[in-house]
Amino acid sequence: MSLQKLLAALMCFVFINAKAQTTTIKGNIKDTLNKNFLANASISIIKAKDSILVKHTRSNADGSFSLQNVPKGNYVLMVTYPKYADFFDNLDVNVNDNQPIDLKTIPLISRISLLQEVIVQGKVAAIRMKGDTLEFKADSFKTGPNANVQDLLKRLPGISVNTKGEIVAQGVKVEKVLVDGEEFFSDDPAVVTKNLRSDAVDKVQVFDKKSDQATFTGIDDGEKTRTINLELKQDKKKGYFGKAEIGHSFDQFRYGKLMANAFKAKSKIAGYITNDNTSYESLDWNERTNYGEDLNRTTQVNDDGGMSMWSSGDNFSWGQGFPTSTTAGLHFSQKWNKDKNNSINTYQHNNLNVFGTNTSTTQTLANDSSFILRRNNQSFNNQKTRHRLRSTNEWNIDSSSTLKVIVTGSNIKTISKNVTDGNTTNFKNAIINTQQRETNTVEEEKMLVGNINYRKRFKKAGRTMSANVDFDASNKENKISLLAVNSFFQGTPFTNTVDQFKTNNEDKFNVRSRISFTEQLWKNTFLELNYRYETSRNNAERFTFEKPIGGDKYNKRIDSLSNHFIFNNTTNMGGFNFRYNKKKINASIGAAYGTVNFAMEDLLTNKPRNISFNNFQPQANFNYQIKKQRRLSLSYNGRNRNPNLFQIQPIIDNIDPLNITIGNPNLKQEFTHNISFNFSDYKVLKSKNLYISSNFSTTQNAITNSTILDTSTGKITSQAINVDGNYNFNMWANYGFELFPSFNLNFQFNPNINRFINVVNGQRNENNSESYNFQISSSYWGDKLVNYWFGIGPTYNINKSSINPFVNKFWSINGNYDFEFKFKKIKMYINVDGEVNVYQRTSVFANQQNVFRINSSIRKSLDKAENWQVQLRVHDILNQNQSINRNINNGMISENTQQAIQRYAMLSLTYNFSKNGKPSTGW
Amino acid sequence: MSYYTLVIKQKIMKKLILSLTALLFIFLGNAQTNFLSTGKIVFEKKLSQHRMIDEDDDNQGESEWKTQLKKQMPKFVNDYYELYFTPTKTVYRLKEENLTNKYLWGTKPSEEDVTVQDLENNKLSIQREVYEETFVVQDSLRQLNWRIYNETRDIAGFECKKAVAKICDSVVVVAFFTDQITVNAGPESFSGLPGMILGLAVPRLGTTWYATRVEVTPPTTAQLTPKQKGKKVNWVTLNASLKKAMGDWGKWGARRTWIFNL
Repeated sequence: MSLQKLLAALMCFVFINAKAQTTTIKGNIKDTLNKNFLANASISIIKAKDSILVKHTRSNADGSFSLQNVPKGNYVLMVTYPKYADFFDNLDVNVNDNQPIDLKTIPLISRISLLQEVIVQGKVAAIRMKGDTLEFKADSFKTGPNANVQDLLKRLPGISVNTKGEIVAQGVKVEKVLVDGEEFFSDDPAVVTKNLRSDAVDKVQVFDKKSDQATFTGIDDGEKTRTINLELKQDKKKGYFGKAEIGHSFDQFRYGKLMANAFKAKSKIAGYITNDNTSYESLDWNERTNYGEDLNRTTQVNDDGGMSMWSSGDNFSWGQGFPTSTTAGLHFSQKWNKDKNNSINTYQHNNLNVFGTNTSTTQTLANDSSFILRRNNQSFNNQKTRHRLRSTNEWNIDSSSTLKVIVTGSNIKTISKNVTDGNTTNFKNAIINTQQRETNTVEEEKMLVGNINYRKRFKKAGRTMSANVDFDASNKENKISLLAVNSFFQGTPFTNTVDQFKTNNEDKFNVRSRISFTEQLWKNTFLELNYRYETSRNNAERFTFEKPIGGDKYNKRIDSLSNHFIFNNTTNMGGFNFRYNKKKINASIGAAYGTVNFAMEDLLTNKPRNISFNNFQPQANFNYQIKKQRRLSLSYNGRNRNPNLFQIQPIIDNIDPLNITIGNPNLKQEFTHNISFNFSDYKVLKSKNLYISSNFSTTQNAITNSTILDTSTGKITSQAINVDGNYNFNMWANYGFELFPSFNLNFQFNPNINRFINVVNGQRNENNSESYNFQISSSYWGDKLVNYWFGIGPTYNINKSSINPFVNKFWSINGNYDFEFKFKKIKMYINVDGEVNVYQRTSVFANQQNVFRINSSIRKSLDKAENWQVQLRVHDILNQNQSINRNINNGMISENTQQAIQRYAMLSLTYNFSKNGKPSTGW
Repeated sequence: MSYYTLVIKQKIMKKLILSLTALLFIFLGNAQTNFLSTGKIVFEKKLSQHRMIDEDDDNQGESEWKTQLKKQMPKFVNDYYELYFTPTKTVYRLKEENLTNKYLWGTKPSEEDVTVQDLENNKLSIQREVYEETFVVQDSLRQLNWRIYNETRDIAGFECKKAVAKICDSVVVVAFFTDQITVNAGPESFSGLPGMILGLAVPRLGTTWYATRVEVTPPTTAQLTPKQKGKKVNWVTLNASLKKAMGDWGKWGARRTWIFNL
C-alpha cells in the first residue's frame, strides 16, 4: 500500500469516527419585539469549561442557522447582533441519540429598549484640569497596602469600575488604559506590568484621545476615545553596589581597586580609587561604565538601527614603559522633569609615573645606495598628573527640540626627564657623529573645552535646524633645560656643547561653529544648507637663554632661538547638499566652498605675514539596499589640505641639531580625491556574512618632504615640497559562516597598497609598499563551558624605494587568542589568552625574534553568592613579552625596542557587595 | 401608441415603484444593522521599541548599551497597513514605507510582504521577508483556540468583543473582533473568530494593531490578486529554519521567531 493510500484510509477512518460522535445544531434568530427574523446574526458555541470558541456561523436571510459536526460537550451558546443585547445560554450536546438539536427560536432584544435605566453621571469632580485632561494625584486618595490600580480607580470621584472590570469615567466608558502612554495589557502573564500596585502610580489622567490617525495626519476626524493614562512615579529604586580588589605578586607588582555606586530613583553617585603598577589605567570597560563615565567613549547609531560604541583612550590609558598609576573618580548624575533634563557630572584624577628605556636604530638611505645608521638609546622618567572635570547637561525642551551643553575643564602637570645617547655610522661602519642629550621639562597645561548643540525639528515634515559650537581655550607653559654634547668626526673633528634654558608659553583660543538647515523640496528630496565659521588665535612665546661667559645663571637671551608670534586663523565656508531618499536608494550630492586665512604676527621683528587659501570640498554618496541585510554604498569626497605656516616659514629650533627643517615659500595646497566602496551581506538564516570595504585615495600636489642627507656628518635637512603621484589603496574583506551550531569561521583578506613620493638629495624617490594580510578567526562567547576567541594569519610585505635597488620582502604570522572555561557548578573559571608573532628572518632585521605570549588565570568564587573571589594570574608565562616596532618606508628602515613587563604571578582577592542593584556586564 | 400598451406600461411602472419602495424599506431596515462584507480597513501598527530593547536583554538590569540605544531610538514606531476584504478573500499589506521612522536593527517592515487569506478554500499564503530570504508560507488558515471574553471595546466605530489565544506555545495574542463585518478574518495571519478582527495586541512583543478607518469601497481585482514569490514553506518548515539560525540566540532569537510567526 502506498503512503497516499494509507493516508487516505486513515483520513476516512478519522472522518467516519468524527461523524459518529458529532451532531447538528439548528435554530432561528428572531427580534422578539419587532417580530422579524434577523439575518447575519453571529451564532457561536463556546466551551463552558474554558470559554474556548469551538464553532461559529451566521444566520440566513430567514434567520435560520445550522451548525454541523458539533462534538459532544458542555457549551455556552452565544448569539450576537449589532446593537442588540448578547444572548447567552447553556447548551449540553449529547450525541448518543444522533439526533440534530433544534433550538427553535432564539429571541434577541434591541439594546435601545434595554438601556432605559442608564443614568448618566454628570458630576464633575473638583480635581485639576490640564487642558483637556483631568488629572488626579494618586497619593491624595487613600488605598490600603498592596492595593492594585483598580482599587485606586474606584476611589477616584466620577470613576467607577464594574464587576467585569470595565471602567466608566464621567459617564463614558473608558476604551483604553495606558501606562506612561503605553497600552497596558493584563492578558499575558509574562508582561511585567500585570499586577500594578496603586502606590506605584503618581497621577491618573482622564482625557478624550483623538484617533491615532487624526493625531498622525493632523486632520480631526471627530472620533474620540475616552482614555485613562496612569503616570507612574519616578523609579523608587534605592540601592548600591561596589567592589574591593587587591592583588600582589609578592615581589614588585601589585594593584588595588575600590569602587562603589549608590543610586536612588533617578540620581546616581559613584566613585573609585585605584593604584596599579601593572597597567596604565586600572579600570576596564565595565568598571568605567558602572563607577563613573568613560570620558573618551563614542557612540554611533547606523542607518539600519545597529549601534557601535568604542573608547579611544588617551595618553593616560596607554603607553610604553613601566607604569605606576593612581586613578580616582567621582561621578554624579541626575534626571528630572520626566527625564527631560539629564545632568551628568564627572571628576577624574590620574597620576601616572612611567620610566623605561627605548632603543632604536634607524637606517636612512641616500640616493647613491649609501646610507647612514643612527642608534639611539633613550631612558625616560615621566610624571604626569591630571585633574579633569566634565559636566554634560541635556535638555529635551519639547518633542521637537533638544539642547546639549558639555563643558570639560582640565589641568595637566608633567615633569619629565629624558637622557639620550646616540651615534651615527656610515655604510662603511665608521662613526660620523655622537650625541649625548639630556632634557628636563616642567610643563603645565590648563584647558577648557566646550560643546553646545541645539537641534530643532519644525512642524513641516523634513524641515530641521541644527547649530553646533565647539570652543576651547588653553594655556600651556613649559620650561626646558637642555644639555647636549654633539661630536662630529668626519673632516676636522669638532665638538659642540649646548647648555640652554628654554621657556615656552602658549595661549590658544579656538571656536568652531556650524549651522545647518534641511528642507524637504519635494517628495523624497531634501536640501541641506550649511555654513561653517571657525576662528583660532594662538599667542606663542618662546625664549632661549644661555649662561653668559663666566656666569652661572641662564640670563643671556639667544635672539636667533627666541620668538613671539601671534597666529590668527579664520575659516568661512558655505555648502549645500541634495539628498534623495527613497525606499532602497539613498543618495546625496553637494559641495562646500570658502576661504581659510592664516595670519602671523612676529612681535619681536614686527613682520606680519598673511596668506589665504580657497577651499573646495565636493562630495557624493550613493547607498543601495539590494535586499534586507544586503547593501552597497559608493562615495566620493574631495578635500584640500593647506600648508601650515611652519612649512612655509619654520621656527628655528635646536633641540635636535641633526634634524634641521627649512621653509618653502612656494608651497601650494594639496587636494585629495577619496573614493570608497562598501558592500555588506549578512545572511541571518544561513548564518553567513560577507563584508567588503575598500578605499582609494590619490593626492594632487601632495605636501611631502625633500631631505638632504649629509652622509659625512649625518645631518638631515628637510623641507616641505609638493609632489604628484601619491596614492593609497586598502581593502578589508571578510567572509564568515557557521560550520556547525555555535562554531563559526571567518576569513579575512586585507591588502594595502600605497605609493609615497619624496625627494632625497635632489632625486625623486618613489616608495612603493604592499602588504597582504590573511586571517582566520572564530569565536563563541556565551554561557557554555568553553568560550573562546581566536584569530591568526600571515602577512606578506613588499617594500621598494626607487633610490635603492634593494627590495625588501618578508612574511610574518600574527595571532591573538582568548579561551575561557566556565565550571559553573563549582564556580571556577579558567582563562588563557595571549598572542603569537612569528617573523621571517631577513637580512634587514637579522636578529628578529619570535614572540609567544601566554597569560593564564584561574578564578574561584568562595561563597554561594559569588561575593568573594580569589584569582591567580600568571602574566607572560614564557617570559617573552617585548615591545618591538619595525618599520620600512620612505627610504628609512627603523626598529624600536621598548622595555615591557614580563613574567609575574599575581594572587588577588575580590569582594563584591550590593543591595538592590548590580553592576552591568557585557555592554 | 395604443391605449392597451399604455395601461401595460402604467402597470409596469406601478410594479417598479412598488418594488423600489420595498427595496428602500429593506435598505432602511439594514441601515440600522449595516453589515459589511467587502471593503478596506486601515490598521495602525504601533510598536514599543523601548520595550523591545528591555526584553531582548538576557541580563535584564541597566546597561550602557540599552541606555544609549533608548536615547537614539524613538520609543514608538507607527506603520499603516491595509486589509482588503471580500466574503471569500482578504489581502493584507503595508500601506507605504515610512522613510522618517527609525527602526531597531532588522525590524524595518517591508512593502513587499503580503498576506492572503483564502477563506473559501481554507488557505493561507504569506509572502514574508525573513532577513535575507523571502518566504511564501503556504498552509491552512490558522486554527487557534480563541477564548471569548464578555468584554467590549469600540474600535473605528465598531463594537468589538475580546478574544485571547496563544501562539508559539506561550505567546498571548489579544484580538478584538466585530460581528458587524461578516468576513471572518483579520490582520497578519489571524482569523477564525466570528467576525472581523479590528484590534490585535501581542503584549510580549509590545505591539498593537488597531483599525483606524473602515471603507466600504469594494476592492479591485488587482488589489485582491497580489503576486507572491519566494521560497515555499509551511509553518513547520519555516520554524525549523528559524530555529536553526536563531536557536542559540537567547531571548533575542526567541522574540524574533515570534515576530515571524505572526
